[in-house]
Amino acid sequence: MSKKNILIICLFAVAAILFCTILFGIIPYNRAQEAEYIRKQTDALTHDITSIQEYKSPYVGDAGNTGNLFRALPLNNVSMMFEIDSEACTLTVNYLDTVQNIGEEKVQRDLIYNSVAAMGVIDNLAGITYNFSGESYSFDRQKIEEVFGSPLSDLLEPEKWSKEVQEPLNSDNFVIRFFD
Amino acid sequence: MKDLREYVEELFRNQRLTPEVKDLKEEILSNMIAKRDDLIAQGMDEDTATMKAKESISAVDYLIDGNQLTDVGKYRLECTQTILLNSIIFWIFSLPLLFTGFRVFSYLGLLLAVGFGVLYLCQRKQSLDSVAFISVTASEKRKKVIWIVWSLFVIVSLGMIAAITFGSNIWFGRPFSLSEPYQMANIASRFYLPLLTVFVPITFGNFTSLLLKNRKECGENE
Repeated sequence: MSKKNILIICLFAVAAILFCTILFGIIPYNRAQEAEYIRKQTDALTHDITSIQEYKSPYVGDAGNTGNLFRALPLNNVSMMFEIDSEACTLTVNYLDTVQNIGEEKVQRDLIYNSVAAMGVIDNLAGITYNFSGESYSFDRQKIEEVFGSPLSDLLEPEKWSKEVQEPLNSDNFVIRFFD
Repeated sequence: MKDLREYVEELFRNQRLTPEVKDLKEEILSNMIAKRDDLIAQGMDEDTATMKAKESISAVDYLIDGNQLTDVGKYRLECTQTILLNSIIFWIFSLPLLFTGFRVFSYLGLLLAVGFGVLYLCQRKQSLDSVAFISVTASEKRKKVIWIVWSLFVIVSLGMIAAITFGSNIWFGRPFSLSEPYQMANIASRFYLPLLTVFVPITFGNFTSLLLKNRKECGENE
């Protein structure tokens, strides 16, 4: 067998191994990782705060930015619509589902998380109202800052965020104080 | 006279008529006429003399500069082997595209490698005993033209891709930002794709080298 034919066989074997490794190993693994990351992004306890850094804005009036921000925060798997009051600097998020369907405990935890995150990222956001079918929750900046400190934007460092926002949200007693 | 001219025309039927070849053609015709006239002068009848003059030259390929006697069977087999080798290398270089939206080019690489592999195996079983004159000059010219066409293609393609990718940012003076690795990979692969076609001119360049390698001396043929 000529040297060139041996080279062809070797290269074909290398190409076939690489092709199969990528197609049946690396790509499915990457997809699974991606799906896991997306799943984690739907819950306050596992959400990656660095994913919302790009939505930092001084104004709540930027509707596109505000919409994209909430699509990168927990409960992003629930359909939602927005109303922005630029004068009062408030935001209303209408979730098109019921609290019972999602789970009351999860909804309460995620709403606190989303409020802290949104107020940390959008400088002039004064308050948020979340509407579900039959239920409504409101958060204002003053109440949030009383609990988490001011300015909220200082919390957006991943380590600080995990320690001062995500860890306390594990406690039911901590969550319940926002809904008395 | 007409008989001999038709015969010479037939001899040059497959040749490109460059000024040199035209001169050679006229020279051969005048030599044949001279030979026939000489034979007639020696007492031979016209038909026999014409026949003898024709027999003196039965082919012209070896008289034309740039033509070489080639082991055609072996040359064709080695060409297929080279295409196969280059297809596999193309396939390997196209593997990163599996991670992007251009994964179809990697499947194309696989298809080419398998297709030319099968063709090569079939050709190996066939008889290789055939020789013919092939123009080295034409092969070299083809190689040059293909490199020029490829260079133009790459310049135009890369220019267009750059215009589509960065045009609006340049026009409006906005900075260009790449936030995700996937986005970066997709943009890089757009520029990578035209460069991958370099295997086409490389393959044609290899054909010329193979042609010179498969040169057969006239003595070898007999």
